[in-house]
Amino acid sequence: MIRFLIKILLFWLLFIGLVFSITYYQCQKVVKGKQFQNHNNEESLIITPKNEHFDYLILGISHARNFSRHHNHQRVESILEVNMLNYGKGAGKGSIANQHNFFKYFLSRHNSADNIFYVITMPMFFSNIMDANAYTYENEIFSPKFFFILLFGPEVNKGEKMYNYLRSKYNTRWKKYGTWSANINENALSEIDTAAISNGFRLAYVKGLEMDAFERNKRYLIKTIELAQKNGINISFLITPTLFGEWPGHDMVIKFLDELEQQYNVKTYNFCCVYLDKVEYFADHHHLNTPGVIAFTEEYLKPIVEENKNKNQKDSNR
Amino acid sequence: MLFNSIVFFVFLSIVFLIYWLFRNKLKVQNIIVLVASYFFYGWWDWRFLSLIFISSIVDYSIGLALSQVDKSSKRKLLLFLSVSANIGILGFFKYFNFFIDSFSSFVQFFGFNPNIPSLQVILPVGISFYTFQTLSYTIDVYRKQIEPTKDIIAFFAFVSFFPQLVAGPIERAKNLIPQFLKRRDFDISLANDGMRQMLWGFFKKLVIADNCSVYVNEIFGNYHSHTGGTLLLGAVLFGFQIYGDFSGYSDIAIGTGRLFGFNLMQNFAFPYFSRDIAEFWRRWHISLSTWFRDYIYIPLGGSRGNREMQFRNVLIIFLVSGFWHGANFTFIAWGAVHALMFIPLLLAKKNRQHTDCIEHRDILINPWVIGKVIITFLLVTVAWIFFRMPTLGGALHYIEIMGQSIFTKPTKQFLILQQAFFYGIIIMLVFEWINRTRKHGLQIGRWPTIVRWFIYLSIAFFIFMFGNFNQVEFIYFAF
Repeated sequence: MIRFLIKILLFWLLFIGLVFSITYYQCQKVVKGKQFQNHNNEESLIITPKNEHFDYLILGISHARNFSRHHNHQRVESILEVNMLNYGKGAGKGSIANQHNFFKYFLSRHNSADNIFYVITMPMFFSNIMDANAYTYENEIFSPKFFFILLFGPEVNKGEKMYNYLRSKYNTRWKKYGTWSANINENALSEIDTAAISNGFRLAYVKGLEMDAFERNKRYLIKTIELAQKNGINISFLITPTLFGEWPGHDMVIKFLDELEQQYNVKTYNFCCVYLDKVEYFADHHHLNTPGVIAFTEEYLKPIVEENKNKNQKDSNR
Repeated sequence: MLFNSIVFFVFLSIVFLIYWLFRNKLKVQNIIVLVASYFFYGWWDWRFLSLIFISSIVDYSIGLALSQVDKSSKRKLLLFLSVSANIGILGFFKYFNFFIDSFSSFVQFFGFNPNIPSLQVILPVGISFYTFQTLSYTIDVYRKQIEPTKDIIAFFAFVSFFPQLVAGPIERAKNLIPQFLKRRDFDISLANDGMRQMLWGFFKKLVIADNCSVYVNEIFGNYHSHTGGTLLLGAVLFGFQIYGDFSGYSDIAIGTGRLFGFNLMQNFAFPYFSRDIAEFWRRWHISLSTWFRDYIYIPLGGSRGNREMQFRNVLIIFLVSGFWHGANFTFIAWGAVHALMFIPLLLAKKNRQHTDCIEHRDILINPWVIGKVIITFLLVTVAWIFFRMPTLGGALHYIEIMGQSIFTKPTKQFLILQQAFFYGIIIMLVFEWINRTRKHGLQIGRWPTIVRWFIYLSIAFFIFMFGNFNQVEFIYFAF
């Protein structure tokens, strides 16, 4: 019996070893010689360095990603006079769970950060479909370490996600893997279209406000806060502007964030209504375009960063 | 619970470990099997566990009653009760709407409008399989071929044994019940071969069947818009799909059984290497064809009697076999087509000319053997069209278009040669050819260790790379 179990174990070890080595080799072959940076691609693992320090780590979904798309990354860094790494993930592939996993990966490579800006968008709390997206990691480069983070980390539909993470490296599409970025920064809205807003809500909340997803994501977010605080990283939440003000579920999330402030001393900066009439700052009704990102960074982020700098200065003087 | 799901792997690992923790406690092991089997089935729909329970309790009680009764009329009554209960349940869940609709159409033909409402009956997974399994027990007890078991746990576990509960092999009581009654020790060579057979089953299911199904669905679903060559390709691919699916299931089931120390009967013996239809039926779904042989064909007189009787018996057996597969005239037509292909062999007394495997020297001496294999495969392929199409008219139309435009340029290229599953089919044929005298295609326990492990890992990698993991249900779950 023991011999049989050892054989089974050996088979799985050899099989996993084989799959990992071939996948790893396959990945490296494709990315070799290509320069992946935060501003020219939408994936997280490929831009994660080793043993580096950042002033800011940005987490969130597409609204976070916008701070890096199309050289916005350099613009924001220059305005704030900080260096930052952005893990925001758009295209329906971002979730609170995967941001947690990327953050864990960041730490596992002995990187450090002073602050986290966690860009909160309400739909990321309420959608089971978004949380279960099996293709979340298909464009991420293969890393055995990240595979194990996924295995033990929080996730919905974990098996399929892990399988697609591995198998996507054999798709013909992967052979063309290169730099890319969602092209929304140059667009500017001319007017508010209420029909488009309603349609956007339908896409973001396919099944309305799913309370089981909310409860689950609350737990995952707390895990991220605890991990950050355990590593001495100051975490604060940002709610970026939209043209419609508050997303469905806003009050519930704000109430939860208030509770977090009480419990973990984490601040929330709510800017959802600051640009209600500034259509020229938006690529659509809730994504800032490049002028919007620049204006928002100068007007609202810079004071927070300054405040954090002063606070850090005081802490270090003490 | 599907074999091709992660849940099954977790379930199997847990049950396997718990089961062998109690290696010296037969009763406990049987209880574990029983609980695991009900859990396995209940995962799909717990409500239908009641049907398995009713079937089990009826046949267990009737079996015991038969052992206490000698009077022929009483014995017949008990047998009648068992058959009525089992066939009654099966008939209601599987054939009720078919008979209502057929009756309705029939009387409408004569100008009446009966307006009989049909019911929304869900077909319980595997009902045809376990019903036949329990029936065989009662019939064998009635015939005094086996003693009825008094061990209720063993009997219930026999009826619901999870590896073969939903799609066979349809086990015989005389093979399986004694295995539940005797002490089972862990046999490493049996378990090793079980794992090999499971691996082979997953390869056939995930790489071949589920990938073929994508093309088969497209071709059969839009057969009007394709030319004959494509339709033939569709039928050939369906032949491989159903073989990969069903024999793959059987391999996984038998392999799983072996992990628990059980030897289940062989259900497929490389049927696509058959040299005529009679041989095909000795190699395809063996547990069902031998069931029909033992409980219907032989009681009807078998091949004894005059030509008319033989003709009648063969026709009955094939029609019933077709009808067993589903409540649709297409399945009956499928059975009839096979009967028509079988009867000439019977009349020429050539239905038992190929009872052994093809040997290498046969092919070297007589290449016509290969021709016979290919012709048999093509005949079986054409018959599959009836099996696959939803209507009889559709099947005939499919064959008509196929015949009329077989050499016409295809309207759509499928580039099958560029698909990995095509090479999967070749790998399957090569391995099954090499091992055609054995129980399954990957019975390579005597090969050198390094070669064996290289093959295991390559097959597992092939499954990982090219398997279809969308958890496609097994075709025979519908029967």
